[in-house]
Order: sequence, then structure tokens, then C-alpha cells
Amino acid sequence: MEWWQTLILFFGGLTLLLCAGLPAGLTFICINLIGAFVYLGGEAGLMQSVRNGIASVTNFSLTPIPFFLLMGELLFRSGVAFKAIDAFDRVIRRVPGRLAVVAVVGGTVFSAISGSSVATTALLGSVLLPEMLRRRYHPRLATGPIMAIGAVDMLIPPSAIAVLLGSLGQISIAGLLIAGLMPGLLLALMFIVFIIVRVRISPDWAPGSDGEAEDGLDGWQRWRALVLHVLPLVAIFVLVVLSMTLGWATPTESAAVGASACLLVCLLHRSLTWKNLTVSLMNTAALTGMILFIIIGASTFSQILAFSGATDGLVRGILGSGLQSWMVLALMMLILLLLGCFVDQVSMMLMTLPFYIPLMQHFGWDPLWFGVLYLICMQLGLLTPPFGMLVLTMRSVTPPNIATSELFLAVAPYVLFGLMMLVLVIVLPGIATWLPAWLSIH
Amino acid sequence: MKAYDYLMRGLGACAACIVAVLTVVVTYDVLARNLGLGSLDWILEVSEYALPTLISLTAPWLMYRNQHVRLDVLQSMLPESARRLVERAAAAIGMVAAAMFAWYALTLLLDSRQSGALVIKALVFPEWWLYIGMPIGFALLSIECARRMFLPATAQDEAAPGGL
Amino acid sequence: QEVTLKAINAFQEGTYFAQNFEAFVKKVNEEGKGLVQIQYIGGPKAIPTLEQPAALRNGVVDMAATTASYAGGIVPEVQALNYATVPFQELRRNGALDYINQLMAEKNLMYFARTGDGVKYHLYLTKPISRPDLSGLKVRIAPNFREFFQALGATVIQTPPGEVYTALERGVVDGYGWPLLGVFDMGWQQVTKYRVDPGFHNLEMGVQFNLKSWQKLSPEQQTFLERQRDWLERLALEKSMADVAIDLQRQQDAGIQVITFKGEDAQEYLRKSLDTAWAGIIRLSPEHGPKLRELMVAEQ
Ligand code: NA
Ligand code: NA
Repeated sequence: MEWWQTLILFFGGLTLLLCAGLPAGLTFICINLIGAFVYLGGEAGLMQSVRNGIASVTNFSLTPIPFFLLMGELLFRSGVAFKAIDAFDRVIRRVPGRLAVVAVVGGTVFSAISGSSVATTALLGSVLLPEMLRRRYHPRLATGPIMAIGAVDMLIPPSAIAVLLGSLGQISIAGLLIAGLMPGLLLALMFIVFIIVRVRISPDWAPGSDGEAEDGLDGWQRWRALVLHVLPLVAIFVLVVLSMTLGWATPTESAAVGASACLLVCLLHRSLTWKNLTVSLMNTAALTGMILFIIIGASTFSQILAFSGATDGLVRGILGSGLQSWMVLALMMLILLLLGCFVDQVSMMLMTLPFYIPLMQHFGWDPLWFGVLYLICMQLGLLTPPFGMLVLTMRSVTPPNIATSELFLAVAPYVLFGLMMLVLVIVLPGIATWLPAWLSIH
Repeated sequence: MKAYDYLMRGLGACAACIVAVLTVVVTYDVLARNLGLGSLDWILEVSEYALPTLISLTAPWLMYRNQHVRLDVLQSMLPESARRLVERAAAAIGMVAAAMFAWYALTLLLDSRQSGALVIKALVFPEWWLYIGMPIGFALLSIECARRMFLPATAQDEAAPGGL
Repeated sequence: QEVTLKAINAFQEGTYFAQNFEAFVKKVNEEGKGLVQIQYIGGPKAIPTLEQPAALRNGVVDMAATTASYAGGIVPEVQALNYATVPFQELRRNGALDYINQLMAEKNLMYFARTGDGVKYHLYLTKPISRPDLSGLKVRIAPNFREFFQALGATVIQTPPGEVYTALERGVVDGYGWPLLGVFDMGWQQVTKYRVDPGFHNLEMGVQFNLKSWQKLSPEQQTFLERQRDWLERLALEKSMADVAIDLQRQQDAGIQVITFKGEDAQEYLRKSLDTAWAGIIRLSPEHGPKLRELMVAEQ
């Protein structure tokens, strides 16, 4: 069989089963069992495919994932994160669309502690959305910024997905985590400017010039909450980054240190109960299980593709086509954006990295730069229909009278900003590479 | 059915315990090393082995809560009766795939045991120990898929949409 | 008639440690038309490195270019090749390799060719030492010299190779053990200050065969492959020798200073490296370990 026939069969089968609603991990396993029988050779091949699957998750590079997820869960379930957002609510005044801006600022800070986009979106959605709707914010203004900043969580360290990308793509994990920071912050800034401009154009989107009314708080009272509730979170972020850069811990270990620090902060706030501790742990276990279950299937999928010769075939095909490097890059990003519409982020990586990494090496692209481009494409996939993980998350906390299509419309302008950032990083690689180079992380 | 519910929830609870223990132990190792109290160099390996164990524990539990990552937008566009049919068909495919995976994981375990292969790192132990969890976890997953195919009315979808 | 063998490599295609075997594949495919062809499946992207020995044993592939450290789980005694002080061609003559092959045959494996030989491991540091005493130092280890560094008093740490650079730069570790070659591939010369001489152990890399696949070959095919193997072993040894000379110079140019143990210290250092290593082999294989040591370690 020619390599392209193999590819069509593999990816065709995958699409069919995914569309039938089979869990992504099981979909990969299905295709693997058939592929292993054909290419690895009968029963011994099937046994080998199971062995390879288990081996690919028995990997120390993946251990930060539960820790990063636990950080977000703990602060969310214990209510510490709510207090932090409340603190921003007190100090951000006299801004058009104030609560939407609070969502972006609070979301950015929470992103710096949470390794999970879904946790961030769920947090903001359950805290700020009801209040915005009560004050008759336009639904698109109330929901859009929350989903958008949730997606940016993936770029701002810690990020479970960035860890996974680093480990699967053999890109420096510490470097990638730091490289995502500037593009993430820039995006947050763009969102804020956009919200302000949008509300200036249509003031009825955020009625009541909220926040202007005096709440009787004087100077220190207004700032006290910020010091009490936000400073510790910033301290955790600093601790994680410092323990990585000062040599107290490897990047993987610093994730565990961060999780323990979150636990400590919750304890000091007297917000930790047995119930919210267990709920956090259960949810972390569930989210980790979801990611690992896909990896066990999908990594074997890419191995069988490689074994069959299809991977080499496609890479040779692209290299032999005479396309210039920027055209190949554009094509690769386009494929990622399209894939992002339909499949989850882990599957995206496992389906494309076998081809993308050799191409990256062939063209001599900076791995951190390429990794950040990849992350931006993935975070857009969280927002695009029909399968937008954060839109689905938002759906679960939004009143039913707001249609799902309305949510996709709400997030559309922020998707455009994401695309702009993608182009910006392509044109000015320094946005991604300057910070890690300055901290001399390779 | 009650016992089955407890079993599924128990799997989730075990997974949560593993996460808790890992967090504490890795943090302790970092602290101990930086305070000059020595290093537990087997922690790296143990935390690796925890990951496949987490899969074995959570795979059936997540299926039970219908929380696995999947694409359901296309089905939601189908009429009710067609949607049920597609869901049962997917459950049937899942049942077969999970059962086959469990079977070959068991074959793998027996083959490894018979060959006497060892894992030789900081800890030295028979390789087949690594493969104990998978056949059990995937057999349970297959059973859960079977329940969704044969008794779709009893299926629970208790969890909120999860994700990354 | 022509037979096609499937071959896999523990190292990523095109990298330094994969090159010798890749040259062998190319030569066999050119000269073996109509007799033997090798279908080169590539590196770990097709089968993870540590799962390749099992794939070889079960016949998913017919040949694997790997090292004893990776394959040691199935036949622990193969690791003894790392700890031999007798030259490899002598091991072929004095029966040591036959002994190992008997043990491998029980697991349907065969040691076919040595592709890495004559290269020592060294201890690399970011802090100076004057004696073979590593107390107070944190050293990144691979399993095959874990106990050696522990015996010298080091705190040992395992990290994935990808994290070593940062770990060295930030002082998470103060050093690492690595073959003389390959430091530049990892880019670690930038954060390495000292190399400790003498080197210890002897880097083993080799090609292993699935025994049944080998036995299925006709005598003509076997002879052809053995002739190619002799070429490969010669090539590998000459290349190692040349590259060791080059890398010693490159390390010097990169500003890596040499700490040389002399006399008593050097003897103690090497004796500990051998004793800890062989104690490990004998613990895993109480029956065969001592006999292998007799055949493989020259009396000093
Ligand atoms: Na984050
Ligand atoms: Na999407």
C-alpha cells in the first residue's frame, strides 16, 4: 500500500469513529488494533502495540500534568480564587464594561496559577457571568471575554498542554512555558482594549456605568483585598517560576511544589475543607485520566503510522514538493486550525507532531517559536465550532435562553485576535523567544 | 447495581489518592534535597509508574460518568431515535476495542512473566508488575461500554463537561 | 531467494549513535540485492527505545541496533559488555561472547555485531574535585553507574536527558556521567566545566538479532551478513578512535578542564567502578556473573 493510501485509511477511520461519538482514546485504540495487526504482524504486533501504549504514558515528562491541574482545582474549589476576583472588582473602577475587564484581568492572574483552561473558564463563568447578566450586560460581552481568556490560560504558565507539547515534541518544557507568557499577556491586553472600545461604540452593551456608584470604600479598604487575596497567588506563580530558574527543582518537580503551595495558601486562608479538598483531587484525577487515556491511544497511533512508512512518505512528499518554508509553515498552521475545529488538543498533537517535528528540524525553525505558534493554534481550537471545549464549558454555566450559536458569535472577535497574534509571532518571533533567551532557558 | 456504583466511585477515589500522595512525595523530595537531607532517587520512577495506574483506574470510571473526551456535536444534530442508535453502535465498538485491549494486555503480562524480563532502574523488579493494572482497567471499561449498549436506560451522565 | 529483514534503531535516525548502523543498512542493501535486504523502520518514533528489545524477541522486527543498557531487562548478562576490560574481538575468541549468546538464545535473541566500542564513560562536573570523593555533590546518573557514584559518596539524581542542561545550569545537579562522545550533541559543553580522567567502563552499542529470524536465513545469507558485520565492526572501531581524538580536542577548545586522578586515586576510582558494576551483574545473575567476570576482566 502506498503511504497516502495508508494515511487516508487511518485518518478516515479515525474521523468516522470520532463522529460516531466514541471517546477519542478508544477511537485511537480501535484503529491501532487494526493497524498493529496489519503492520506490526499479527498477535505479536497487537501485544507490542499495547506494550508501546503503556510505555508512552510511563513517562516522567507527563507527571507535571496532574500537579498543574490540581493547582487550579484547589484555588477554584476552595473559593480562594473567588476572593481574588472580588479583589479586582474593588480596584478596577471607571472603566467601560468594567466587569468584562475584571474577567480578563482576574482570568490572567488565575491563568498564572491554573494549568487548565477549563478550570479558568468555569471559575469566571460561575463567578462573574451571573453578575454581568444581572446588570443586563449584552450576552456576548458577558460570555466572550471569559471564554477568550480561558483559552489564553494555555499560553500562560503553568500549562498542562504546554508540558505535553514539550514532552511529545522534544521541545524544552521550561523554555516553552516561559515563551508562551508574552504572547499570552499581549492577548489579554488586546482583549481589554477591545472591550473598552466595543463598549464606547455601543454603551448599551454594558449599561448602568457600573462601578461609578460610590461603594463607600476608602483607599486602604479598596486595596486591602488585593494584597490579601491576590498577592499570595502571585507569590505561588513566582515560586513556581523561581524554583525552575534558580535550580531548586526540575521543571517537572516545580509543578508539585506549586500544587503544595496552593494547598498551603488555601490552608492559610482557612478555606480548605475536607469536602473541597476531595472534590479537587477527584476532579484532578478525572482530568488527568482524560488526558492520559487519549495519550495511550494516540501515541501508539503515531508509532504505527511511522512503522508503516506513512510518516516518512508524507514528510518526503512535502519536502519534495518544492514548497518554500513559509508556505509549508502556513499550510501546517492551517491544518492545525482546521483540526482544532473538530478534535481535542491532545489528539491534535498526537496526530500532527510525528510530521511536524521532522519538518521543523528540516527547516531549522526555532523550537520555542514553533511551539508557541502551535500553542496559539491549539488555544483557538478551544473556541472554534463545532467542537470548542471552552464553549461547551461555558454552555454548562450559561442560562438556556442564550443559544450555543450566540456563544460562538460572542467569542468570534477574540478568535480574530488570536489569529492576529499568530501572524504577529510569525513575523516577530521575538515575542516568543525573547523572554526565554533573556532568562537563558534553552 | 449498587455495588457496581460503589466500585466505579471507588476507582475514582483511588486515583484521587494517588494524585495526593504523588504531590506530597515529590514536594518532600525537592525540600529534602535542597535542605541537604538526601534524595529519594526512586521517586522519579514511582511517579512514572503512577501514570498508567491512573489510566487503569480512571478509564472505566470516566466512561461511567460519560466524561471521556468525545465529539458529540454531530450527534446532537440527529433526530432522537437515530442518535440513540449511533450511541449504541459506538458503545458496541468501544466494548469490542476495550475487550481486545484488555486481552492483549493480559497476553503481554503473561509473555513478560514467562520471559522473566526485569525492570532494572533505581528499583529492580519483574517487568510484568507494570502490566497488572491494564487488563483489569480495560476489562471494566469494556463492561461499562457493554452496559451502555445493552442497558442504555441505566447509563448515568453525572459529570459536567470536562476538558483540558 | 531474497529475504527482507525489518530493522529498528534505539537512536533517532541520523543522530551520531545511529549512523554506523545506518551505513551498514545502506551497504547491505546495495551489495545484497537478490540475497538480503534490510527494511529500515527507523528510530524510537516507530517503537519506543525501551520497548524495542521486546519487539525483537517477539519477532515484530528481526534486527535491532541498541545497547545493553536498554536490552538488559531481558538478558541482564549482556550489560556485562559495558564492564569488560578485555577487547571485544578477544571476547569473540575466548568464548565470552558465545557464553552470552547461549544465555540470549534462551530468550530467542542473538548478539550479532558490536557497533560502539573503545569509548569510555567519564564523569563531568561543574565544580572541581581533587580526589575520587563526590560527597556533597549531586550527580545525574544512568542506571548502569548509579552504584559507582553512590559508592563515591554522591547524591544521585535521575532526570530525563532533556532536563539535564537546565539542571546543570541552575545547579540542580553538579555533574553527570556520559560517554566521551556525545556531550556536544546534547549541547552540554556550554555548562560543563570539568571532565574527570580516567574514563571508566566501555560504552557498548550493538546489533542484536531475533534468533529465529537468523536461523531461518540460508548459510549463504548468513555468511554474507557476517562479512558485512566484520566490515561494520571495523568501521565502528576506527570511527570511535578517530572521534575520541577529535572530541578530546573539542572539549579542550570548549574550555572543559581536565581533572586527572593519578596513582592510588586512579586505581581506587577504576576499582570501584568495576566492583560496583560487577556486583550489580552478579546480584542479577549469581550463576553466570562470576564466570563472565573471569572471561571479561583482565587481571590487573
Ligand atoms: Na496557565
Ligand atoms: Na474547536
